[in-house]
Amino acid sequence: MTTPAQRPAVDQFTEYLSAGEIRFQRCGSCGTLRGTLRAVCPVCLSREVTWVHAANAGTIVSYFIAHERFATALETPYTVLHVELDDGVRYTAGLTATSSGAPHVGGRVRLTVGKRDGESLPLFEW
Amino acid sequence: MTPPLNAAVVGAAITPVGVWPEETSFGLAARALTAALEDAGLDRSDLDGFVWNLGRPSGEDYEAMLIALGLRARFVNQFWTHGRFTGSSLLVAAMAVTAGLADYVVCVGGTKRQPAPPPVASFAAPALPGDPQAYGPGDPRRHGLTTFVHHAAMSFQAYLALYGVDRDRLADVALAAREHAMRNETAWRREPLTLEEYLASPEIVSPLRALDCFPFGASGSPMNDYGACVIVTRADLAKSLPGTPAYILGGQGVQGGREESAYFGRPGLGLFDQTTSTFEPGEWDRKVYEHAGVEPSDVDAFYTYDAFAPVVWMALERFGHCAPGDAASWVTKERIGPGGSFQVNTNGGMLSQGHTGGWGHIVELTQQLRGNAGPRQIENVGVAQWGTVFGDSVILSNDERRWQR
Repeated sequence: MTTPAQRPAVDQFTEYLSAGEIRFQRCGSCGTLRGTLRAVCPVCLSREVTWVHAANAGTIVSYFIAHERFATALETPYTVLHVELDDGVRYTAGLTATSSGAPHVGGRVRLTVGKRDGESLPLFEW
Repeated sequence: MTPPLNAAVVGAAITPVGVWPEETSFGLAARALTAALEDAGLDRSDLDGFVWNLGRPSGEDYEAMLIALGLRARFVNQFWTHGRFTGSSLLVAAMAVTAGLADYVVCVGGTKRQPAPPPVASFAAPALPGDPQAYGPGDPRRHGLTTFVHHAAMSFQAYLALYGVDRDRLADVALAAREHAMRNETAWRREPLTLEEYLASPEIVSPLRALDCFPFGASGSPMNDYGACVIVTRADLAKSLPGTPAYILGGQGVQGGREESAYFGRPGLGLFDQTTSTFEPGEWDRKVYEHAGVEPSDVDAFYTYDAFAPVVWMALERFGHCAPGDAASWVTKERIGPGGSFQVNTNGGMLSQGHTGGWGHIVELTQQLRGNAGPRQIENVGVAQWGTVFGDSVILSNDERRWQR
């Protein structure tokens, strides 16, 4: 069986990010939008993908604040948010250093291209 | 009616749990094996089945373990890295003896404390080939969601928000576990614990306090040292042995799929790939009662995976012992602690006995049903349930009539 050579999704995602864009995978067959990079669509098992812009505003579903380090080189404390974007995609990322105050479930945030140690990352801000 | 599983636990033992630098996995397993065989009234040569949890890469490989223990087996099963496959190990043993693949299966659990895992953001831990996230800039692991405690905190925060409960109610889970552990000489943490000490415990990953987690010590060094053995045989063979058999009435496996994607959380939290943020016990959660021929109200003692205290609440809700969102008020130290009307994790749980993946619980519920639980013995205990937030369950009884239906 031959399949077309596919670029690793993470490379494509990173390239868009470097250009200042956050793009999500949309299944090229059934159209399901997904926040997690995947090689195969869990809905229809298609490998076809288009890269699309999605809602960048969303609502905090949950979060944690790490005060101790567990298997990470990140400085503590740090916050990780789990957010439902306005088109239904759930996305997990850190918080920009400029967002002050404590998060709360139900709070509104925006997903932006932020920087950490010179690298572009998707980060939430409010 | 024919019972679905022709199986009973006839011997069980666990070593003290803790950090024992002078001990090896083999030595700990050997201690537990010797004690379990004595409990069962069996000889090593009687054993012909072996179920091993955890194998490589978290523990030794099964072949090395069998040879080290001088065992021969015609049925071997090795579970992989997750501590959660404890009930499943017991069910595999029960299925093996029911199907005639072995007569006496020994389930062996054990770990040695390992160094803390490497920091993900340093790229010391490579992604598996083909991992689409590949530790890229959008990978949650790069944002600091790296390990069990982060997932447990995320699930707990979602639960607190959904039901609007006071997080400090979780104190009773930790306090009850400690009171049980104080009566168990194999437990790692046996010093008295007060509410004030609980409330002063630092939030290591908010909203989780250190005392809401199993005692892992400095920055995530996983697990601790222990060895445990549980011997399973057919009911007819069990009756010829000296002790009271703990009949395996029924069970169900760990559940998987997108609704289980709140790791260390139950379905219905609206996290990750879950489709809903409402919860009622589902058909697959209730199947264990049908399989075992009992009702939730028949359960006298409950044993659950509790590496993190919030999953005790969630497991009780999942198996219908209290309504979704009610666990915070239903779970009191008086109810689930020593002498309570619905005792939970009388071994002290992972919260105080130490992380045994649940083997400490399985050994304990066996000893309870066999009347060997000493200072922790629950009066008139007849039916004990293992049931976890991951959806698996095993129900056992010392009453042969319940097993026969």
